[in-house]
Amino acid sequence: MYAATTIGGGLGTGLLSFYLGIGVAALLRTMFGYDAWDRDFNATIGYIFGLVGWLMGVGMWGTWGREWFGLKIKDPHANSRKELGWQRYFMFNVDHKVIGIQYLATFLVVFMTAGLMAMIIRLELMGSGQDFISNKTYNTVLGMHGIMMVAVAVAAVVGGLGNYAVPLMIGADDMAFPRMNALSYWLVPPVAVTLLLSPFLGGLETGWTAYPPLSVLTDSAQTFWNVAIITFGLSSILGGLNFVVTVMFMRAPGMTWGRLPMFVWSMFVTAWLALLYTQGFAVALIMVTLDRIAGMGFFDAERGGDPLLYQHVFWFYSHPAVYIMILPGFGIALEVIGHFSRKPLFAYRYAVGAFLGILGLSGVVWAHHMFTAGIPNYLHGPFLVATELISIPTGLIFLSALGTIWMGKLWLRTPMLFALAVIFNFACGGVTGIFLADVPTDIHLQDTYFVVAHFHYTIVGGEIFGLFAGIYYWFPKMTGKMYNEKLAKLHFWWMFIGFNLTFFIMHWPGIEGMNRRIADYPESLQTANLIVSLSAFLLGSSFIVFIYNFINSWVRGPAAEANPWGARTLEWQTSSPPPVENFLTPPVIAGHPYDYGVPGAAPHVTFFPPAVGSPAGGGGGGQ
Amino acid sequence: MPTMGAFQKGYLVAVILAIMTILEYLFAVGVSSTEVRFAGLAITALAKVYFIAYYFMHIYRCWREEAH
Amino acid sequence: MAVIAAHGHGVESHGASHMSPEKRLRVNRVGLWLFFFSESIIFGLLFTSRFFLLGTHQEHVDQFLGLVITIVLLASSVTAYTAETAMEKGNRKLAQWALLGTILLGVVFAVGVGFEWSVAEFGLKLSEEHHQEPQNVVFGTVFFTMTGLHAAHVVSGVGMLVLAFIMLSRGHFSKESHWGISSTIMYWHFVDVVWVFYYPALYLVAG
Repeated sequence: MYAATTIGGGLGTGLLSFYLGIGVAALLRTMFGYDAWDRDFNATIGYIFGLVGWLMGVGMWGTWGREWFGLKIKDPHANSRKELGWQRYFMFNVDHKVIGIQYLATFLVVFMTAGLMAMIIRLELMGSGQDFISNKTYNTVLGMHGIMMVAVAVAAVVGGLGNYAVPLMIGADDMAFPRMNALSYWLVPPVAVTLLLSPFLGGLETGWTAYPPLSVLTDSAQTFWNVAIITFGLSSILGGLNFVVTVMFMRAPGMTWGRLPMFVWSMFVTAWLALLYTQGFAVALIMVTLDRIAGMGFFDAERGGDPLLYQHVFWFYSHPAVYIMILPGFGIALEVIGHFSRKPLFAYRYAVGAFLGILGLSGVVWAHHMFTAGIPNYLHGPFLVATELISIPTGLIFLSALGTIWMGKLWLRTPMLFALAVIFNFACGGVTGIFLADVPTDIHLQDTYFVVAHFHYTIVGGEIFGLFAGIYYWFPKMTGKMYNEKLAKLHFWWMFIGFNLTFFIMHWPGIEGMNRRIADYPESLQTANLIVSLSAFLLGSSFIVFIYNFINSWVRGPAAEANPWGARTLEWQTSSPPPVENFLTPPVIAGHPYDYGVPGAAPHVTFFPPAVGSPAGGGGGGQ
Repeated sequence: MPTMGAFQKGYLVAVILAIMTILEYLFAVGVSSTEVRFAGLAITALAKVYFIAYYFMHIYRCWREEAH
Repeated sequence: MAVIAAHGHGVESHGASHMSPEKRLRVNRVGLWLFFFSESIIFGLLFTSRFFLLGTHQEHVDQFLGLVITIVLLASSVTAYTAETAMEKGNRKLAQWALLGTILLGVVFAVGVGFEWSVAEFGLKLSEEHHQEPQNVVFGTVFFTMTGLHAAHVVSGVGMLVLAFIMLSRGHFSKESHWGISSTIMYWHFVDVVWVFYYPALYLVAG
């Protein structure tokens, strides 16, 4: 009932406002002497109206909007206190644990959908020539796969696991701005709907990068796509802002900066990146939209514009975006490796410094995506050097991970396997990155499948493996149930082997010069592509195991203990799943989170006054 | 300007800003070298932003407690 | 959206139940500053694009009009400052009048920009009869985009000021607790800060 009123209310007001917006746009156009109807213009205005209507309809009006007019609001926490069962996930709920699960579930669905699109792409590329789908459909599928996977990579860990775990790990009862947190989640459904509708509104032709002049000239769903992505950027910025303020101000007493768990550090740095750079994508797409609907000439060379401007502004975001994607992966990997090696995390301070170093360097490397785009030659050297400098902080993170594993008492449960795979895969992805950062090799490899293999190794191998490490690691905490270890390990090995086969072999057609984004290739590359496609199907099918295990364990898995991993960090010192207020008594932090087996080390957490029935602080002994 | 009342302080800053704006305009119209003009405008803009952020937007309250 | 974000967490008062009012205020304040920081990157990217596309080239603009609307915006900052300081001293009457003045000056500024657009000597289309050079069109593009985005912020700021004014008239806010007004006025000053950069970049840089 609650779920139906929320979603129905949102859809109702959203649609009404959408049509209102279209009408207002038509009226304005008539007033200024234009034709009343221009699809892209009217739809853009309609979208903005519809977005606001949707947000107000799903619950922002009652819990927030009324306040702006001096009216009484409903208590936004009322929803989280009611016993609502599954329905609480379909409401405007400000509890960070609910929002985390909303994000995670949404983006797992998006991930699987985009994965199916990858299967379609590999099906088409299994043989040379046009086999299954037309070139136009191929472009649409490719663009959708790209942008949806980028969205997953940007938001699944940050929005899902970050929202769930960060307040728990720093001993807070919620994020700093709980309602804004709910707002950043509820901005996502309109984005998803618009993206999923775009194949029916004309398709996509530009891939996820939307380079002009094609994106300005194309007669496709480009404008819808633009406004959807700008909305997603807004969600990302507001989320990042919330994380930054939360980590700065909401830490429990004694939780000094030097005692923050690695995952919190990675989320803090990621949030800064999202806050500082996401605007680049938004501004680039605003320019494209204005060129399309308002006749501006940013990218029209005939009227004095410059398409290269787009690439500068776009990559100003989209390079830091790869760190938004990978740093949470590193954070989870270090977190899990720290707890499952049962010894203090090696070089904690250097790893933190590495995160901050990547934050600093990420903004000065973007033009390495543009070596062949016609930028002046004098820019090649500085961007080459700056890009390769990033391998120093990345190396420090590897140092920390390897130093922790070294002589550790490894406990090879599924989260640990995934975390070790992050380190292995990212090493491969990092090495191929050097060829792409070097101008001479990049000129040959630009826009080939070598690039595709490289970024799948870093983003999928680094972050998506990290995402699954995190899902298995926090699954008992989130659901209160334990997953099936055998199936989880099966999923790991299946995915790991499928992934490495697919993308390791993909380097080969890349070096041979096979172009990315093109539905066809010369017959000489037939064998390589056949192997890649078959391996990709192997990789894709591994997620069936995951889905089965995930749903089955959530519904009827055995109840999980409060601290199944014997970990020292805060989130494990409360019940599984935690109560609405997270901790029944306020936690006080006394020691370092990773001091396993250190003689005389203070427990990380004590409770004051000691909570009755909650597990003792520390938990250093393990299994 | 610690001894001044809050209103007077703000109006003094506003007068400074107004004078800077006029000077900025006269400077830009009068100077012939593009580089000098650009540098002068940049410095004026940064100085104006400092005044607005500190005295009008009270940026220091982010790290210093407020009086009341 | 700026309205929601700036004004919205301006009045965030729930959640984190055991947070003291002082801490809540500081968290809100830092959050609002981060929002400004993040917005300034949008404005900064457009500002940089202007120089990327045109260098310091500039078409003819009405200098007098530019100076007048700049002074109007500065004057609105002064009235906004008066309103906030009056609130801090508990003088609600003065705060109301100052808010009203800010709203009026904001409207004058927006109308001024609209007038500027209607008399602009550059357009978005190449045409033989007006001897439009490509640079002229690009200047039109950056001019309309930059002033348009800024004006959108002015208009949303006016909307927020109107809401603050209505709430103040209805007896909301007090000497101790007036974050709703403070945040709106900070947002207004931020809009002024943007103009501090945009005015020289669009009107003065070519002399």
